[in-house]
Amino acid sequence: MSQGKNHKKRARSARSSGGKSSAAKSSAAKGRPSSKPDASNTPSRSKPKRLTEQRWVDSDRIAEHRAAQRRRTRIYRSLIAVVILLAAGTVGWVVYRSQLPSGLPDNSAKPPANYAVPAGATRDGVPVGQTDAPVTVDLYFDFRCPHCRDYERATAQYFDKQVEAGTVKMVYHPISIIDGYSVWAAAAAGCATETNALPRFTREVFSQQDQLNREELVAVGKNVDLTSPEFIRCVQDSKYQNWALGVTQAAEKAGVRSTPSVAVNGEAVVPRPRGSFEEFIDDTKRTVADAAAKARKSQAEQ
Amino acid sequence: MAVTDRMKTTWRAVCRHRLWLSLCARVVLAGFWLWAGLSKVGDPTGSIAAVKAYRLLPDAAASVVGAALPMVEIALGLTLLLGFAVRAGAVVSAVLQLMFIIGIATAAARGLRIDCGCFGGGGELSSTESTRYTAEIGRDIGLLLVAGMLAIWPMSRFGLDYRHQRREAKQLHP
Repeated sequence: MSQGKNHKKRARSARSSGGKSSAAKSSAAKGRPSSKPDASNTPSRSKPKRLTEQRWVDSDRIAEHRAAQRRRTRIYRSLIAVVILLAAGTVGWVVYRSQLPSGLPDNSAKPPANYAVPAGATRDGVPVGQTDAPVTVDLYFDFRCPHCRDYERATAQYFDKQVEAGTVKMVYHPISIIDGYSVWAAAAAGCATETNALPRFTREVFSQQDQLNREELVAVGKNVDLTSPEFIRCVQDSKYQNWALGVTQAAEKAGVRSTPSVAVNGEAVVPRPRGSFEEFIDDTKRTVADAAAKARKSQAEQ
Repeated sequence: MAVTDRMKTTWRAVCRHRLWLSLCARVVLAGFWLWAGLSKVGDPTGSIAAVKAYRLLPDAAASVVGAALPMVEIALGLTLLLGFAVRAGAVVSAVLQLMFIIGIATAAARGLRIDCGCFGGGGELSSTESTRYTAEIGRDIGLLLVAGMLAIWPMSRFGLDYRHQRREAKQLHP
């Protein structure tokens, strides 16, 4: 520290005296004898003084040169640091890209105009239950979203009972807002839809919610008795990948911005601000019950 | 009068020990960056999900930021810890912190329910978890101040910049 400080002080003093010396120099150029009345008395002193002036000017130039050099190295070092940061970021991005399995779809891609829709599904989801049920519950979820898993676990029994009783028609919307693995899982869900196995397949995917590649999704299907060669080929080929993208787009158009999102008869169940998870589930159940009661009442009136 | 005098002496003491003070700032800032980076670097998918949850960037840009940011944070932490180009590191830190503050503040203003994802995790919160925007913004403002201080007084004890300056000084005045 002391050295650096001393050095700084010296540089500063050199600079300030340099300023003085240049002023003296300019006055000398104009003609010192006329400007200074006592100069004529001591003409012999002018020579040695000029020498010292010259020395000051030199040291001033050297100090300036060194300061410029220091500035340059400082800029170089800063540039090196910035390059290091950019390189580190690039490495992170490249490593991430290289670790992605080949063919992992982009979950924000737009599907083509025409694509295969699984039997039993529509372009925006999969209805489950009686078509004339008085209450329709739209469930928007991402297979890779942990809160969707929690929500599904907490409400599965309730909804199963309601669907069985014929009061509720569920519409599953397996949307892909997290990443390409969501698309693969949703496409596999489309395959499961063809044999009306979507609810149990969904539950099984949620039970091992990692980055599931297509072979792993086949294994998930096997756990819930989806072993037919058609199903396996369907998952392996991601036959319904475009459908999965289409479901995501449709949900986006419907105003879904996060998962899980639930709508009862077309009206969203909005989580209370600072509300708990249990409250959200209670709200869902109450909204469903209210809608069912309203439907019963209107039916009785008719 | 006495109060201003005491403030003056304190300020002088602060200035006298600023090499040590900057060292503390450097270590604190470097520690935070390393912690933030290392806790996220193993899970780029989660990091990307956390960036996407802010809904400020288009998906493609969010992927790039999410995958690159942990490595940038680690590199930033290392350069600060080594004391290399501290002023540049401090300025970059301040800019990043400012971006984080804006991100969290707008997330709060838009009523998003997310975890900042600052130290791994991140993304949407379930309804049970409460947001911690105030604490997160407070912490980031603190780090912004530390980074700002370091940008003003980048020279500190120990580290490559310090050694470089001493070597330069020795060459000038052997």
